Amino acid sequence: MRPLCHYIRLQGLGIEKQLTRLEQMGYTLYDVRRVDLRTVELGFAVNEGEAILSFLQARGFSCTALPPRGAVQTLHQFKTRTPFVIFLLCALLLLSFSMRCIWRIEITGAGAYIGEVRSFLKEENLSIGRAKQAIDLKAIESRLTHRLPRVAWVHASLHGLTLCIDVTQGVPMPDIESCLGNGSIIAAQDGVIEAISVFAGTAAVQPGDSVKAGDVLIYGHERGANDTLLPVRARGSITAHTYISATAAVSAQQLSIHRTGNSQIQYLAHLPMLELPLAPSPSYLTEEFESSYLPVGGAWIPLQIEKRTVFELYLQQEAPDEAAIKAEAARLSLQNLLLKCSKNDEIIDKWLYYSMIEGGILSATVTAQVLTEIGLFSPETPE
Amino acid sequence: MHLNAVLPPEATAKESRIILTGDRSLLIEGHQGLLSYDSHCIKARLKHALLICTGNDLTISQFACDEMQIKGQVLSLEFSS
Repeated sequence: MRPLCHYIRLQGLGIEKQLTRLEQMGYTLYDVRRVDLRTVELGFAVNEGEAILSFLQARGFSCTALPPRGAVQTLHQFKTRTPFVIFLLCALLLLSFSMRCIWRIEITGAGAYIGEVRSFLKEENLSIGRAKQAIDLKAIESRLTHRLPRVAWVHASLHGLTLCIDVTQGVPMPDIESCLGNGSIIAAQDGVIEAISVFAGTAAVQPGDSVKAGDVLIYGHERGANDTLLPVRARGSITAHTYISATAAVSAQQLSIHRTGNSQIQYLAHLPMLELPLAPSPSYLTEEFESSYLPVGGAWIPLQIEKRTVFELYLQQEAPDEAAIKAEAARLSLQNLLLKCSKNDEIIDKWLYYSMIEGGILSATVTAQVLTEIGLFSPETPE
Repeated sequence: MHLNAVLPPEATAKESRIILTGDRSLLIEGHQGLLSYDSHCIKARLKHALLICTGNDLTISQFACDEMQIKGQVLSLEFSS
């Protein structure tokens, strides 16, 4: 690697001989360049400069310093530009200081606890600009885990300038008793049994039977040897025809909006974060407006003038369109019915009834015959 | 067997070593001094001969003990005793 060099111009006769002597003395010369018959430019290491110059001057050579090159030139330029160097050092110091702080907080997986985590960070004074060294990640993890009991664990880490808090929510433990205990299957709602398949236990009903909610469909016991009853967990599939109703009410009054004919033009100046009205806005009770924009700043300045035409409105009650209101009521009642049905239910038939318009309200009731699974496990086994 | 018999001549420091890279760089190891120099001709003393390097825009980029690096366009190398 080449050291920092000074460059000189050497004038005299028999330069080659002196260069050879310098080389034999152990000095290294760089970029030796012939300028004319008596002149040579050369460079040498800064720490050897004094000895080489005194050697050459003692032999009558004229030595002229040349402008610095390479790293020496850069150092020389820095010396002549002190404010720039100070600015550069300040910028480096600022950058170094800013790298010691956190500039972003990322919370993942918190879900409903996001607000709780944020308030915890606020209480602990963990905000943007906090020094990284002052952050105790283990303490954050333990305190957050203690504070959020339904959270399985919390992992806090620093990635560059970001404080990452990863919250993993716990899954509630299933009800072991209901999974493992014995019991019967009862009817969840009224209906007529369509089909029954028993996997464990003893059937209490057969197809065609009418059952009410709470009636036992499969007993939680099986007959063993010597007519003993062994308690089991009843399992099976029972489908039944049930009837589900849903009602929806809609207003039979219709209001329509019309323009009075009064209007006023208003101009507003739009900047990215500011909307400045250039004239007072009209004082209509009810109004609507149409706008057109004029980009006065062109593509580079985000300034637009909005021309807003404000129209005065009035409301008018109109004679109801009964067919449209009935259609709307029917649509809403069917929607409610579908919300009551579960995913595997099969609708066999449905009936729709409308009420009279009373008090400005029309209601629709839809009743559907549904083929559905009505079995519901009950831990108690009735006799 | 004597060691000098199995080692190459440049390793035993009996001969100079000249490395020419393309026609742009010439490295002389084991020279014994610079006799004359200008941008078209460099004469250097080797251990058993005199080297005359001719070319264009020749500069001595490094001139150190026992080693000389020449940059520029080398047109010819000539040896004389």
